[in-house]
Amino acid sequence: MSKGKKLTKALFNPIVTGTIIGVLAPLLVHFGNPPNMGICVACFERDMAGAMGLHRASVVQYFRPEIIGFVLGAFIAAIVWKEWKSRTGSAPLVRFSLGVFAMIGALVFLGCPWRALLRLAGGDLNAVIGLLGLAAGVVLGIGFLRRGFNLGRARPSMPATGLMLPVLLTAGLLLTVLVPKIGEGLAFFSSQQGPGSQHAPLLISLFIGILVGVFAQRSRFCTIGAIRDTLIIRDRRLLTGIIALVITAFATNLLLSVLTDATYFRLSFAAQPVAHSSYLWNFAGMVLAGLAFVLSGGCPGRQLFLSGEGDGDAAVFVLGMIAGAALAHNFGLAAIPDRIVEGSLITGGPALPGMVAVGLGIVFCLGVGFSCSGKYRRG
Amino acid sequence: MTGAGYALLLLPSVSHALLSEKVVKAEGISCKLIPTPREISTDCGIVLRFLKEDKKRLENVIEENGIDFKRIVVIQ
Repeated sequence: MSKGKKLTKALFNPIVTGTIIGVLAPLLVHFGNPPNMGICVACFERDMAGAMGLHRASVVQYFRPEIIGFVLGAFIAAIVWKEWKSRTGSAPLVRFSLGVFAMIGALVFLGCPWRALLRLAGGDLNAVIGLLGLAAGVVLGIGFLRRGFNLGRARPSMPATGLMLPVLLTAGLLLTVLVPKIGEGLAFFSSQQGPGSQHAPLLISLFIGILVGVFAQRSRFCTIGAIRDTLIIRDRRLLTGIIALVITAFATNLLLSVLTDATYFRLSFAAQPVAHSSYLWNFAGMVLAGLAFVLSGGCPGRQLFLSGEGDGDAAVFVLGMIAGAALAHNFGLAAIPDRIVEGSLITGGPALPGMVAVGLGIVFCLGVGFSCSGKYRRG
Repeated sequence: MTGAGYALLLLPSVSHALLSEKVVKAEGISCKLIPTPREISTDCGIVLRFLKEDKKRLENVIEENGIDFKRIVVIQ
């Protein structure tokens, strides 16, 4: 192996990717993103759904450049290293629906697996419950993998298929920059208060998104894959990336707390930023999300990177997640964060529709799991 | 441990990999599931690694069991 190839291999590994995310996510908070939400694929896709008017929750509307950066970064890396390959073909409606329910689960917890790790690094103990739920969902999903679950194989497709999501997102980004408001009462919507109003400058967000996209595509970084590989084949390569993410995010939070006036680390369950301390629903939401992620083949971040490198199936899942965010807010399924009113803690969590949706989602995923198992044969 | 002397069976899904390992081991062929090497595929899934001299036998076992697979890569 040449020196250049050795260096590239050493550079693009999950530990380096985890470290990059762990350092840059708290910095994004420093630059303006919501607390403990430097990066959150689920929350950011939800904000993008809001920006397009797919839901009208006025506090979570912003066309997040990080998401576009992830896809473009993966696209650039795949082109440069000749890995871009347009492919699609297996069970699009099932993948879309899994995306919908994965998002509902994530919004009941209030975060994707990446944000769960970042919340943990910021001292939010609810993240421990969420991560346990995520692991439980992954274990359930692995049970289906052992029974032969699969959604069929993807096949090579015309280039337009693989280009669709990168092009659509780039067009959206250009539109938000060039025509930020189509008209009065029309998209793009942009929150004036709440998490949607908190964001780093566009170019910083986009640059960090692209950087993460390049490294994640090259290293195959995936939180769900990390748990799955550890449990199935006792391989901890991807898991080391997750551990690196938590340690470096924790260290960066402490450093920022020392160097700035803001608090980046507070150890507690209650009243954490954009989080609730309803233990059961933190757990159950992530069981649903974890199960849906395993059945669809990867965490939401990984689905974005796969979309960037031409995977049309992953792009369908991403669109499902965006639709899921719209449903979650239009039907009142997303959880409400904890809040302090007149000095008293009011514990947040999902309302009844959200609880029912999590139950239905788990039933749906179990149904998909059973009905798509045992099909190994050529066909 | 993906060096010369080995070959890799690339499969459409993790489920296919788990089943392949089971049927191949049942035939007494030494094999191991490993993460897909990134030089081989962008997939974050897993592949079945085996000794390249067992390639023909393994192909037969996979074919006999009707398991769908993508391709076999012999590590040079």
